[in-house]
Amino acid sequence: MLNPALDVGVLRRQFATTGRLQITDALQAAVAERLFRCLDRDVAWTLAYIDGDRSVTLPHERLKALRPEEAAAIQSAVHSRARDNFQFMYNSYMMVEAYVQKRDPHLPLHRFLEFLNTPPFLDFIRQISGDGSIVKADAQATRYIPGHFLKRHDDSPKEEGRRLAYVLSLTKEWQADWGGLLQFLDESGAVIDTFMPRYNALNLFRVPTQHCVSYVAPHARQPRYSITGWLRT
Amino acid sequence: MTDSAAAGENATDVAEDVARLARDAAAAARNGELDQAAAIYHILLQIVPRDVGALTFLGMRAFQQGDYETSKKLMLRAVEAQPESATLQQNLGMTYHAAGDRRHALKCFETAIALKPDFALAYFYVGQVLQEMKRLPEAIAAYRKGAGLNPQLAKAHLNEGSPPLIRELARRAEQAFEQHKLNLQKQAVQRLLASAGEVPPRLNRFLEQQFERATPDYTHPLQRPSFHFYPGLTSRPWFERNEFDWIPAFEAAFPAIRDELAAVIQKPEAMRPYVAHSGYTPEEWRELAGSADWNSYHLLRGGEPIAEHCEQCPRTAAALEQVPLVQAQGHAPEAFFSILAPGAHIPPHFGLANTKLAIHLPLIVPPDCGIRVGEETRGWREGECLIFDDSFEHEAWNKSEETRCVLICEVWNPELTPLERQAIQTLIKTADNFHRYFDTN
Repeated sequence: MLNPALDVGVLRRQFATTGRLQITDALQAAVAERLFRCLDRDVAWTLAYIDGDRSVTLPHERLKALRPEEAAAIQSAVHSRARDNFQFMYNSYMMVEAYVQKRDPHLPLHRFLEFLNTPPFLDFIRQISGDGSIVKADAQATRYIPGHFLKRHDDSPKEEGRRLAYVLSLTKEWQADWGGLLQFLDESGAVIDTFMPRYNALNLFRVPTQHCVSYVAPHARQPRYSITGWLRT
Repeated sequence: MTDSAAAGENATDVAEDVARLARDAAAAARNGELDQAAAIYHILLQIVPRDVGALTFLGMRAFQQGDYETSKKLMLRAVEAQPESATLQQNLGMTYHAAGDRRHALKCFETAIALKPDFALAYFYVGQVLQEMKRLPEAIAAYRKGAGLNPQLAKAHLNEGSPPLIRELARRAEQAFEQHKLNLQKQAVQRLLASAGEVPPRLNRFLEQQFERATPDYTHPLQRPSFHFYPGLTSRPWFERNEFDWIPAFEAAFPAIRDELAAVIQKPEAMRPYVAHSGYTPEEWRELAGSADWNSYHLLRGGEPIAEHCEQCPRTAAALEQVPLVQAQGHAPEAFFSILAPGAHIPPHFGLANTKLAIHLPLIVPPDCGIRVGEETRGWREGECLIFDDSFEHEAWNKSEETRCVLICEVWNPELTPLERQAIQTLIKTADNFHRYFDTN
């Protein structure tokens, strides 16, 4: 599924300097297209955010049935918490759970999750990162639409075994002023690097690393799609 | 990014999902789709991080691919999940061992044994690690324990059907036993020679040859003993009766011995084929193996008298006492009536050693019988001993219509000094003690 033209040696050197890397044209074009179409049409999205002290996932059926005033109330509560606390809001599809429960078996996402856990992909990651301890990958599909964001955090491994984070970006023709940028921050909170959403780009970075996904502007003309997760020991 | 747990799941559903996933993975593995199985197990681990089946599969797979670091991590987690499993301890030990960490490997194998005291394979692994750590006596003790628990395992290197890892383990165990036996022999011979005064150079050469497993410098193209070649002895197939002062007394017993034999051959059920059936019978012996064409009736076997036969043939037994027979614990002397049926042919072969000579006292000799030793063929004459070095190629035949009977025993090669004989006895006795101990422990 990987693009056979990728030069692992070059990628490895690039990754070594900063501990992050955007690999363009990461997958074979047909694979990327299939995944994009799946995310764009076939996924039963949920809504993920923090309510009070806990993460919630609003199931797809509830999300679809949400009345406008309910949606507005959630949005308002999310923004309110975000002023002083960690917060996020985006559409999510938990691929590992879906795989295990054999939900939506027709989706190509399942095959892709398997691929992420096969030796060809894991070897590729181990070679680029030089981290031989990585043995598996989890995954969720995400969709950011206007009003969605992910505040600054570092993916600090509250769960053991997270070595790298990855974001396979599947958004076509994104524009910087739409927001939705993956931004890396230093200790002072200054932006030190930005990865634009870019179709068929695989973003990799070591964790913990301070980062955020900037707020998606109301004028963004299309959703920001990705498949994202951690590469683990 | 965050971890948002799906709401509304209960534990039973998860268990069912996981069980189904494990079945999928096992099915993929069975079909040889190993990458697919690995992928499913990886995904399963994200739901149940300590699933022992998944950890073991992935750990073994990494092991087979030579990725011992990954294997170690997975195996460690499996052990943490099921600390009471001896098999998982053993798996982890194998991984440590492959990664070159003998100390931890040993600990795992010992833990496996503590958890499962009859775990034969784990004893073999302990033996292997100790052997590599040059702790040979301890390694031997562990191998013995394992071989006692599972004798098949000790012979696995001979069995083509055994998995390669197991065969290798058994092969190493055998090497350890051989090495240990050689060490014991060296020590015993050194003790003997320490009090011996001057050591003949050919004895030193012989010992070197034994301990270095060196190919001897043979001196005659037809002399190839299968066990010991003692250098510096005259290479000579045939010896003459007048070279031995005990021969006349022995031959004087001929009529009595022949009469006892005559009684014995009336009872064929008391006799045994000289060549036993075994799994490793070489082609040229197939015809005689287990066959009454070459029968034997032993008075002495492996250095021990067979009481019943000696009582049956008291004068033969008494005559043998007058012969300076080779004494070597567990092996010599041997003395037996050799009964060759009409038409039988003993194919060309080599005896064990040039340190001893074969004595034939012919008892019943029909015409057209003969024996070739080296290049020279002789016939038997009733009552007159033939003496030869059976480390030369020899063969015998009976082309007559009647049975041929000979009393066979063995004496030292007369050129060997008492010290040389003692050294050979020490080697054989040490090995014999070693094997007895091994077989009974």
